[in-house]
Amino acid sequence: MPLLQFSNVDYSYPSGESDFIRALYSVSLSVERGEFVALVGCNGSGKSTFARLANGLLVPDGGNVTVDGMSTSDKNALFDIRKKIGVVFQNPDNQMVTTIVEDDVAFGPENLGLPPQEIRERVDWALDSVGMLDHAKSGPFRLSGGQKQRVAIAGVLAIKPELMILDEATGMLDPDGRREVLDVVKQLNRKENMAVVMITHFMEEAALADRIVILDKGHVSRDGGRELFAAPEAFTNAGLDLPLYVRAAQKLKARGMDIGCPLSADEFTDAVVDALKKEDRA
Amino acid sequence: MIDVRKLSFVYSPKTPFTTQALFDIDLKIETGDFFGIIGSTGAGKSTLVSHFNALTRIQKNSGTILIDDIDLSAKKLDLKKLRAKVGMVFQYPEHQLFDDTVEKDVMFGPKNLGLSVDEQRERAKQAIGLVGLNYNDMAERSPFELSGGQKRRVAIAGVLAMRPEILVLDEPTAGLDPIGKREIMELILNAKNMCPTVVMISHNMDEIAAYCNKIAVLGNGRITGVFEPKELFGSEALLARCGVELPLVTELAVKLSRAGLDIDRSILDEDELVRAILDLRSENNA
Repeated sequence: MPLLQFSNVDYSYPSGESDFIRALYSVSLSVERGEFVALVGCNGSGKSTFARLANGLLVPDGGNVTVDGMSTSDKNALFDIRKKIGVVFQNPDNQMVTTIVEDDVAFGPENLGLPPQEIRERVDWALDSVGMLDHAKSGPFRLSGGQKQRVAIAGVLAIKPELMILDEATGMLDPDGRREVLDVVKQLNRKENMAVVMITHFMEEAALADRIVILDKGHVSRDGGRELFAAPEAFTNAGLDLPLYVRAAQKLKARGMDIGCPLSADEFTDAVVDALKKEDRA
Repeated sequence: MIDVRKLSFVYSPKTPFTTQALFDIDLKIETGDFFGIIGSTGAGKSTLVSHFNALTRIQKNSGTILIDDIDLSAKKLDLKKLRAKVGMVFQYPEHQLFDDTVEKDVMFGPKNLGLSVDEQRERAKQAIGLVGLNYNDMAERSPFELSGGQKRRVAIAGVLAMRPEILVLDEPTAGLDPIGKREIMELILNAKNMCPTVVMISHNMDEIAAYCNKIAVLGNGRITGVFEPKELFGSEALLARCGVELPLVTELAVKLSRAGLDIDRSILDEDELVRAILDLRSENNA
């Protein structure tokens, strides 16, 4: 049974008095335990609606969303669903509930009814994971935007969900902070088999995932492995950019130098060095 | 010109929560600069720029800021004059949209300057055009039914309608998709023709490298240094000392250079990188 399953999901937001904006239509998608998925799409493609439907904040107009077999339309299942799926949203200001950082992170585990000792351990671990242990006693409102976002991530980590959805959660972080958070998430993915759905605009980040799903105007237009990057139209048609390595490789190819489709800085370097060597010999 | 002298700032002074956010900041931003401010989260970037339109007032004995002839530490500060001169675009400025039509929202600033309705409308029209939106399509629409990128442009138009001489932007492209990011950067460049001085906070080193002529690095409330882009991104020692990441394109150049290729390590532009690689190839063939 998939951890998260969307079956033919439709969702529309009301707009004005009688109008609707179709945010998602006939979306079918499943995420298995331990997967690392990047969900990409331009602003307005339905990515955030997906996150809200996944943990039952929104209920589909048509079709069905299930988490480990439990339907999000079943109100009695929501508590169990949210133990399994944690969502970190874009704006940390909307996610803080208390006046002390460590209380905020403890909010989730407390609601799970865990023993105090375990709550303590999880809070410290989660804050340490995002590099905010030193700020455990500060007020969240005194932190910078990026620091608040890390606390919000710690709050979800402390629940130890089976699936974490990051909805552009690293957008407010500096490059260092972004890498730290990504490292933590990747580590949890590998060591604890936590599935991750990373909603992102950073194509270089998306290139790190095992699987990439492209949302275009409310619909899944592509769903596949990293080989998707070799067909750039899939991205550009959806209003997306390509990772820098891929863009540069294309420009080189247009000038007669084929280095394939590198998906990281190291792959790019190796490919250029190899291509130059080969030409040298030729 | 913005002239910051020995500026310090303490949050919640004389309480157990007191934290010093800025320490003796000295900084000169000249007219015509596209000035970048970078540094890790919590370094004090937003606190510093929020002084520039006196949203944060300079504390007693904590230095001064001169903006042309306006002394921001003066007791009697002409806020109207200052805020007409310095336009501020905050993080997620679209959260500050409030009126029921785009035009009214953009006219709000000029209205507060005491201009006639005709003049307000004229300015709104120009500002909406400057941010790349079609005035006739947009004027009567509700700002709340627009897309994220459009909302942000309307919010920036609201600031441009004040016709500021200095435009301060705090992470203007955060949260936008790559194309939205590029559009916002282009509109800022466009606006710079009218508003000569731009100050921009950003975490995006690619943007900083591509657009700024000067860059101040902030760390733990102090200025680590002010540099030109090639100077900063071309020096690994400086970058390490300032805790600054390379723009991705420069990172590629450095990696290629480390792999033994003869490539300039301070490349800041994608096309420049592609050209440099192709040059190596023609040398090989020669």
